[in-house]
Amino acid sequence: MYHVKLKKLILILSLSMFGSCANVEYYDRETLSSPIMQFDADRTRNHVDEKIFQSIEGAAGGFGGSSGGGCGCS
Amino acid sequence: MLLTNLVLFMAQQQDVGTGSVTFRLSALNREDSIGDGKGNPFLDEDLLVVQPLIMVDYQLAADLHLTADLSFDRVSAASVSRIGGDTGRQSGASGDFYVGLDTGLQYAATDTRTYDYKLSLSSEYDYKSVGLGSGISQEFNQGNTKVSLRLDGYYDIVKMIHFNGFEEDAGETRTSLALTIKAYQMLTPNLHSEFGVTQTQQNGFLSTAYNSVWMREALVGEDELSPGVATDELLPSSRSRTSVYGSLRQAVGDSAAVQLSGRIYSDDWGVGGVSLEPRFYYDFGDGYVARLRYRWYDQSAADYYSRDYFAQLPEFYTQDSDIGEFSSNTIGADFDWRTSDVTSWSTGVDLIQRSDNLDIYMVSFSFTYEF
Repeated sequence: MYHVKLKKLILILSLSMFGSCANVEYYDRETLSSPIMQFDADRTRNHVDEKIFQSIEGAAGGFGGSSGGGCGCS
Repeated sequence: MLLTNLVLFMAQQQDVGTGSVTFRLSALNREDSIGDGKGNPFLDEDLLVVQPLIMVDYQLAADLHLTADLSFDRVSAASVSRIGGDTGRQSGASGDFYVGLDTGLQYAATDTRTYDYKLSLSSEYDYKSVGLGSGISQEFNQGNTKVSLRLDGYYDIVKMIHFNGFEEDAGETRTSLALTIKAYQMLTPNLHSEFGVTQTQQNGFLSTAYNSVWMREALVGEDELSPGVATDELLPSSRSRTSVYGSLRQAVGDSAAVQLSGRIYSDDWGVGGVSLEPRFYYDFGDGYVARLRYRWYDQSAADYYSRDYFAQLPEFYTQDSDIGEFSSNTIGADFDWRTSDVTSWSTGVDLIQRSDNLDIYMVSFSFTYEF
């Protein structure tokens, strides 16, 4: 079921992101630069999250981490 | 404040010789005992992990940034060492003590292009691993778009410690290669997004050496711990895994933000997984920030997973609940507070409720010092 959805999702996300033609000018980026808007604001929290979910679920990777390897689990 | 943020955003670079060090302590607990209706009734899937973590960020030069993550895990699980003579009843996470070091170096070749390199080393009583990675990030469209491409490889050597405690002299190996393409896009002055695809190919020994499969005598009650025999888990020697994820973060007023993340995963073992995670952030001012999150996850079982095995085993077989079918709901809250210009603290709690009743509780506490 998820195999089919995956290809569709890649297509939809690609179109939605790169289809965005509007530029955000430098002087309009104050809000995007605030600390609570940063995707990678807490590296330690992301590190722990990624490791825990990878060890207890069959799925892994995508959020900047690789899917497998570097651990005793497969 | 706005001007400061703007300057920070445009510079994206620390002063040479400055950095931060974060000490984090996390604990995770999952309770289980054989035959209590949780997870696999034939296997003990208890798990307690205490994980201290030290993370360092340091600006080595104007164009060089160093990161180093040193983590130790003290794991008490259904491991060979803990189970001892109770053969045939263990599975899940490994045990004892884990140590891992991830180092990264980012080199800003130009104002818009960055290269990064990663070296990972980790060791536990039953394996050793070395990983190498490299990537390139390029900004386009005056910084509105950023595209990253990276390749990571791991080489793991697994000690063959079987469920009955028998240890082979020679280890087995596995390799993992992961290619990730990631894109960042500003969408409006209040909304931006990330999107990534990771394709991973694993080859070699992909079973867990000490996982057993409990093969029962036929014609007994479904959950009865009937007589039977245990044997090693057996899984294919290759695995191709694809995961796609996306995140959108929207500012709500001056002090709040909401994020919606999702991931869809698929592999050629038949495991499929989808997750959705809304988050809410609120900045109270003066360094006080709260985060709330909910995560929904649904997973289909590997083709080789079965809860029950009787007289005859198929070509591949496992009873590891983590690649079985389940769904989970996670709720979590974090709170950060700053105590001076250079020190800050954070604490958080998460509860993972799984449909197979293998619920998990996590708490964490961290301290950051900037220098």
